Amino acid sequence: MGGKFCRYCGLPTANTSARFCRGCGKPLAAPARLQTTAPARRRNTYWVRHACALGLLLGTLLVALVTVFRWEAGRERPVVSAPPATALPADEDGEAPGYASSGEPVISIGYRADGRFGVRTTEGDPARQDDDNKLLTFSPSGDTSNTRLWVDGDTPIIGSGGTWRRPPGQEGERIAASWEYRGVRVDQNLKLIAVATGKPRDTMRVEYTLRNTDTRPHAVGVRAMIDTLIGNNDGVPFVVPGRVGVTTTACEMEGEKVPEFVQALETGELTNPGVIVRITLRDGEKRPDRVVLSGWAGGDMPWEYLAALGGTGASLRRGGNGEPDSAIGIYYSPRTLAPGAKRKVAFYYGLGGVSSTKSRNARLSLSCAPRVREGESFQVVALVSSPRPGDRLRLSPGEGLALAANEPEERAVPPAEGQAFTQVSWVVTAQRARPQAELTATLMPASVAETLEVEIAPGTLTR
Amino acid sequence: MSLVLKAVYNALIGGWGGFIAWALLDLVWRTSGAAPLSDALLNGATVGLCVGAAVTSFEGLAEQRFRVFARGLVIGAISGVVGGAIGLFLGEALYQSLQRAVAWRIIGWVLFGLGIGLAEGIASKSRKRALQGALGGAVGGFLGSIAFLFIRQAVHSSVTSRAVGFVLLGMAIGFFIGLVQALLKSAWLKVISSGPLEGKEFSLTKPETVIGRDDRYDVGLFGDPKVLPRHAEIRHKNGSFVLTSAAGSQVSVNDRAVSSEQILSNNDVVRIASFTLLFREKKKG
Repeated sequence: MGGKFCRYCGLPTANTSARFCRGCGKPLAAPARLQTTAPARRRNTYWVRHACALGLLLGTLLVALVTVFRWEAGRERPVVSAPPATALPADEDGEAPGYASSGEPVISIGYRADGRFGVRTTEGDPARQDDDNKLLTFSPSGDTSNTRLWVDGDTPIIGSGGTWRRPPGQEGERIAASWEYRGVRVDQNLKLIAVATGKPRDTMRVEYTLRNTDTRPHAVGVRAMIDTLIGNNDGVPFVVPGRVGVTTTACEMEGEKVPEFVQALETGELTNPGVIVRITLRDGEKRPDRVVLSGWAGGDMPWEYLAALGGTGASLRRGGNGEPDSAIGIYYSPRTLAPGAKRKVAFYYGLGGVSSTKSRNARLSLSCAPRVREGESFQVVALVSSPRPGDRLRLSPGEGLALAANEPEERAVPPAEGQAFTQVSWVVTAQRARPQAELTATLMPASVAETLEVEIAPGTLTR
Repeated sequence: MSLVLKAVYNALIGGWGGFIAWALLDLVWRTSGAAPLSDALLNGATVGLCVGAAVTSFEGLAEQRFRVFARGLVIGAISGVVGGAIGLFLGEALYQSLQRAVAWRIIGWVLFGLGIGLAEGIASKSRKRALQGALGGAVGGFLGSIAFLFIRQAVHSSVTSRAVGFVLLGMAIGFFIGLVQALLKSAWLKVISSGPLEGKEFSLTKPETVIGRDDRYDVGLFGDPKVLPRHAEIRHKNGSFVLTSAAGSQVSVNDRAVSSEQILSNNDVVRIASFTLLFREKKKG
């Protein structure tokens, strides 16, 4: 054994006196202890042992990751409800939002077991392909957004600490949740609606009903903070009617300065804007008490966070100075609710639109609520691409529409300040109901004109 | 185990380190709202702590050498925290101040991996091993950060993508620390006798490598009382590896007893009590 070839690796030995193989190091004349063990079996045991250990490590790691994935997936339940055939009934308070819940849904709501929610498009605007399957909030299930309730100075995130009276779940065509904290119940209802006749359901109505279920009064408010994302762009400037130029830094609007809506375009191109998000803050005659546009600083951001992010004028970045990352805070300030009293507030989050996607006008675009009510005043925004010094814009309301009192027909176009476009806005009054009323803006001196159609719904006795 | 096998273990252990770091950051501490620099500091320190401690202490754990395990755990944790925090903080600071190019963040993760890679060398008091670890950690940090950024972009979820990203980062750093050591080893001892240490490779990276039963030493041979606490040593002198047996110990090379010193050649077989070790050396030039 072992005189000329190694019995383990087969290598010829260099000399007959060698006792160990120079290739593999195994003994050529193996000692008794080694001879009793079959080499192949030992090698098998070695690899089996390590294969088992590695398999265990890899397997448990994969199981852990799959558990995380399933846990996260379990928190996100997209809405796929069938469109109802009837119009949305009036709310129980007699407040008809004026929107319809008929039509195909082109966005979907995701929500978590703790009530947080997010939105994404499914089809988006049926006329365009560039807004399909886009995120409208950073997390499709609202991981990075929160809603806080105010009860006598306590500001818990809804779903944390109190008691679920009705855990979040689909109830007919809406996602309903009811949560109670220290004698105050908050009902959160999320519903997909259409914002104009014949349009698909492209907007989520977010409604909070605050009820005092206690025997003593409570100061009660609610604040929704949404981590906005416009398609793939987390750092777009906001179009805020009533402000000069587009909004690129943090701002706070209170009382009458709260705009009717806030809008953002995924790209800077007016003819190819990608996904457009519109957050409609007006619900009938009501608006939030305060709105904050700012950077984002975490899914558990406190009731007040603007100061911590650098205050007004800070950049719309994560933590105030990180990568582009914006959020909107919608505040319904605390008010005293007597025992048994309730307060209902709502806002809308969904797809917006600009006229230039249809007209292909690369210089000028118009936007406003697609449906307004007779007698109502509303804000119109004109977006001007590549403005030049001295440019002016004239707005000409068509039949059934008029500029609101003290609104000038012409406004100077502010500089774009490094952005792809700038904005000018007016307040217009809907005078008479019409299925299609026209607004025309003209950019001077270039004489570029753009027209926008708006539906004027008939007024009611009370409005 | 061989150094390549160790690299595979390192990858999985590093992956577990990354997973535990994610769980601490996102489930326990829930730090998502911090400012960027604070966030980088905390993320770097936590991932560094977990990946560094896991990768550096694994060897001691696998061999049931408590002292080696504890030393690796402490040094890995400290190096990981310091390297991770500094690396990510610097990367984020550069990103913030210099045109926000994502390359600065990758550099941050490279520095992070470098810090963790140094730990093994510090734990084993080997400068060469520290440099190899640093190189491996840097490569792992580079590739891991690209995987991390890709996953974060591709999977639009704030939970799973971050968990998977940290796991991949830990795996890449652990694997490349082991792989670089395996590729750049110049001389090593391989246990070829049967037993728990069979197949294990000890890289000879220090000027003086001590062999003994005491787990303070570099080549720990356990389970045989005939092995003295400090049984022999191998010195790297003038380009040669010289084996010296300690007083009262019995060492043989190619079945010839070593009385004092013996220059080792490639494929020499060293016997110490019941252990048979094969000396391997890469050809120079």
